Amino acid sequence: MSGDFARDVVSVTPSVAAHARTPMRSPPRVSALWLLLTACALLVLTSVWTLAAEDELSFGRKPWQNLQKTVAEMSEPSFLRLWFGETRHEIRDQDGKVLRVDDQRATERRYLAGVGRALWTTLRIATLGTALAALMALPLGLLAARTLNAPRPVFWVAKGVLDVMRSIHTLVFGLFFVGIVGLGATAGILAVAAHSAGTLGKLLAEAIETLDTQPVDAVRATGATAGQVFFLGVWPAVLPQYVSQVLYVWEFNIRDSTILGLVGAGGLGLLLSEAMALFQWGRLATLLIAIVIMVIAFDAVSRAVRRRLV
Amino acid sequence: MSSAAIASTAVIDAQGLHVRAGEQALLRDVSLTIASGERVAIVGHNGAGKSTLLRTVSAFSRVDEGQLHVLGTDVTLLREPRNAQSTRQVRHLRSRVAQVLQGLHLIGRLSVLDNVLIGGAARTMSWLTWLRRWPAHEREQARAALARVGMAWAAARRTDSLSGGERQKVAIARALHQAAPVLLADEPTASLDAEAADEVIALLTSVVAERRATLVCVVHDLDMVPRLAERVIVLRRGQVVADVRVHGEIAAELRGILK
Repeated sequence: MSGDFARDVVSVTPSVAAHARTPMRSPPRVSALWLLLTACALLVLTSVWTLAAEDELSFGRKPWQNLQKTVAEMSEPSFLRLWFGETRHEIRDQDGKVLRVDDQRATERRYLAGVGRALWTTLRIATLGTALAALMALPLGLLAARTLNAPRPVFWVAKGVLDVMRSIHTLVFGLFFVGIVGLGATAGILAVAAHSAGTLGKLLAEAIETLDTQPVDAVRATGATAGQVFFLGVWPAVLPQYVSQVLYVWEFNIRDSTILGLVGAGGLGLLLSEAMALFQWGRLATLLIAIVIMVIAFDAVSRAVRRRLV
Repeated sequence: MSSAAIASTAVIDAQGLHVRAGEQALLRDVSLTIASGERVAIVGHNGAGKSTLLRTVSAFSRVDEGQLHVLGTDVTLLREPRNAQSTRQVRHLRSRVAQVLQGLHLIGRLSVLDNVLIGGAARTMSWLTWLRRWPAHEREQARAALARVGMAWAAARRTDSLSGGERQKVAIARALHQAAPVLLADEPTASLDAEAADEVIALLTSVVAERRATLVCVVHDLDMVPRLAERVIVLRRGQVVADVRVHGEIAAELRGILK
């Protein structure tokens, strides 16, 4: 409450300043743009040159054949075996002796059940992680909103925490939490929450900062307490934006948590890394298709909900 | 002694008021006294300091120099840094100075009734109001205020579904619900069509008369002045350049002064 006067004065000045300054602004200089473009071009050239010199720009020995092979292998997703697999697929050794007889349809059915469970786990990791993030972001975002005038040190700490959380990737948080709580979904949930809280907190702070000040000032003008100003003026105006942002981050986290399994944090990623390590391109294709379907479905739902919000 | 005597009869008493924002002087040596029950229009070009004057009266802008008493409260004492006591005084002052501002200043997503209830915030400071739960008598009073402005039918509607004129009537209902002895209005008819503007002005003046309240109103359309006010204060570049009674030819006279 102590910064009240300062804020009030600030909210008057912009219009006055705009009157005073608008004609003074000079047109942007062309040379600045050229300088920037030249700098970018130099950076690109330097990167190409040095990487080539370090022999890091090779495409391997037979890129074209490899690409064809991979495409051919992935063009036959494993789930097709549900219908077209051999019920008596014979696995032989080099001498032609039958080692084992496999019912490909049954095997694929078991595998797809596993994929389903992994999808469900991924969905739960993303959901719980986002829910946790939404709760953690609330206090941090409020403290980091310039216009709410938290005490300076608290403001900087909240802002710093949000920046750190946001700048560390979910995967890195995943490695970190796997080391702490062990392999499994818990590590995934915490990783998603830690990274997303940074994003959501920043979005919330910005939503509050860009809020129209008039309605909030009008609540303050009735002699309302700081709590009333926040809950009657700020909160109802920010809430739909925040909910929409949480949904958006949720959507994003569903994509993100499909790879969390790569570091052992549960979900689809484990199956992904397994398929890649064993060169089972058909299964990889099945997994990618499953991910794409899930993400598209969730995007559609989330977008429909968000459109109805504001 | 004399200042105390003035404070008891004058609702707003400014002496040698200076308000600055950085280098810029927003108000320069403004002295004026507004008595209880007066209806005063403030006119002037953009940037003349009209809105600043209103903001200063409700302790939203800081007084840099001079004296300002509003309803007996010395506003200049309420400078930064604020402590718990002066914060309480500012809130008390604001609760007794209702405002009808220009443009959209209601919370669009809340219901009309919720917006009116906000006017009683200073009376009911319980944290339950944070959840928009108000005592029964407050709700009743808010409904009566809505009925007074002819908007009872809209109580449960979302405020952003109303037209500009309807919203301005809701804003007047909020000010009514606040039951303050002073009403500040900042271009209350801005962006309204002629019909809606007429309605809002009629409402504003009749409400002020019923409550025996004091009205200070920033007016842009000079033809509105005679219907709103009995006295006009003209500001130019932060200074009072005229302070006249309203008469038949006032609009023409004001155009002469403002030219």
